Amino acid sequence: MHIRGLFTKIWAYTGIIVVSVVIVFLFAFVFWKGGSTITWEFLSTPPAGLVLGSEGGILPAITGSLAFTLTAIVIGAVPAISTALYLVFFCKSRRMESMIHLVIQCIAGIPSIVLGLFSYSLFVRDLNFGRCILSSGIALGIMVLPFIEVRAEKTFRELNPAMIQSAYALGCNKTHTILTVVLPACRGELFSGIILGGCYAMGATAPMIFTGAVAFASNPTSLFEPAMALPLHLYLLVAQGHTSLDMAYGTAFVMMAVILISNVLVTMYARRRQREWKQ
Amino acid sequence: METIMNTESIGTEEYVARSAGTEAAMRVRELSVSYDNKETLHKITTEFPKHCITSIIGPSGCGKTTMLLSLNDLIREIQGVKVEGEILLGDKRTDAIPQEELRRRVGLVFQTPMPFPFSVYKNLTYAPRYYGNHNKKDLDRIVKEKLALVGLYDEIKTDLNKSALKFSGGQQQRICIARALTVEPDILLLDEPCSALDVRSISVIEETLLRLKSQYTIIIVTHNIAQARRLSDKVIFLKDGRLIEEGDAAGLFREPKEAETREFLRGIYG
Repeated sequence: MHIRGLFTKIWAYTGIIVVSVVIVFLFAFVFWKGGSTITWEFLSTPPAGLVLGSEGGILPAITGSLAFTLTAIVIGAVPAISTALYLVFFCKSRRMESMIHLVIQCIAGIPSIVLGLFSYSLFVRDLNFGRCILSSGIALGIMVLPFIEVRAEKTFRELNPAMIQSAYALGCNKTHTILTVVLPACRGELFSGIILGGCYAMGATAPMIFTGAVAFASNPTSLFEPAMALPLHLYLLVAQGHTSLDMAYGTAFVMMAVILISNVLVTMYARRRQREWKQ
Repeated sequence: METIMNTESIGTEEYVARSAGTEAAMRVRELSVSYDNKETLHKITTEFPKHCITSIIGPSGCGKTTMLLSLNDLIREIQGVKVEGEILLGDKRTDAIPQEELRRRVGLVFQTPMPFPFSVYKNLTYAPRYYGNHNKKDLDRIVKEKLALVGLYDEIKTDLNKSALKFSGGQQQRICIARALTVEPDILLLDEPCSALDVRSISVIEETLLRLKSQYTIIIVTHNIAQARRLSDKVIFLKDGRLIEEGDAAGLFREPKEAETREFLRGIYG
């Protein structure tokens, strides 16, 4: 028993150390390689240079990525949270519940390039939206929908049922209970799920390339125009060879910093909400 | 009512026959409940006399909470549940009463104190506001009146805007009872309301319930036989989803008729 316990401990610590070392190394490598590129000019100017992007900055890629991400989370989060609410509070048929779970799993399992191709043919061509932020936002929204739905459903299921039933027991209907008790109680976790979904969308290159991200576009001003995106910018810089590698690391640095900062902020927010809830 | 209180413990049919004509706040006839085709309650017939405390006792898993949840229809929120038989609130079948009205008239307080994470004031005005009462004076009156009913107003009158979660377990449970009373129910159901509380809080809650029974019909599920003895006017003993015995509390505890009740009260199982 003692040996088994010791073995489990060593196994767990080894796992933690290996994972931590890999993550720290990855971040440190990108930050070390790209850190020197980060200047105010890099963050606030459009790309320039003879090989476009070898000089100047990445502002249109930052604004474009934010536009794609925001559109995606708006389009993805609403049906994701609605589906989770339906499954937890309204669905009484186990068969229906299994069917919806199966659909969600299938969407989660679609390779992003296939999703990009589907969105290209449906939204860009058939529905004639063209390559724009909206087409891309829908494609990315479909991609993050399962991500947000699974987290939202888990959050709703973990809420103390007595709290919900207390509202029902007062005669309040489900809609009122959801709006006044469930959603405020789950706000922190829902928000963190949405932001993490946004981070996931921000890094998804394939659907963006097919549907709305174009090389070196200017800052977006409407949902119906294409835009630049950080992952595409990174890809193009690397594809140009060694001339723009520093800029590529700088772009990667910005992407990772945005995702890291979002994660930290979201974790802090969710913990604060949880503390407020439990105190 | 007198008839019931003066009887000794008797079998179900005889009890129902002898108590016929007495005023019952709620009646249950041939109530069966099953979850995923597994029967949890089997053909329960009983009644809950007005302005009395009725305790439902029995070993774990005997269907006490299921019975309580059936009374205000919260049972239907559970997936795969099937309810048969009839429940009457006064003279009206509960399935003929709109769910909202039924739940307003039959309040429920849960085992764990579960105030909403709002202020005490907002907790107590939550339901009245839902029913369209937004009059500040009226809401203030409700808060004061209901907190006073559970003996809490003087204790916390200066902290009404404080989060309800910041009070002790016993105070939270009394806030929950007061919240249930804000919709003026006829019947108050309590599912082991003291199981998560310390001795002092239990005694305060029990005093509160004894005080409330003059205005409300109270049905309480409890594991605590001593508590059932202290509080109850009537006791219903369930085992394996069946009503084994019911009767006035004094009679049933002094001289239970059924061997299973005797064994349960002696602590042989449960």
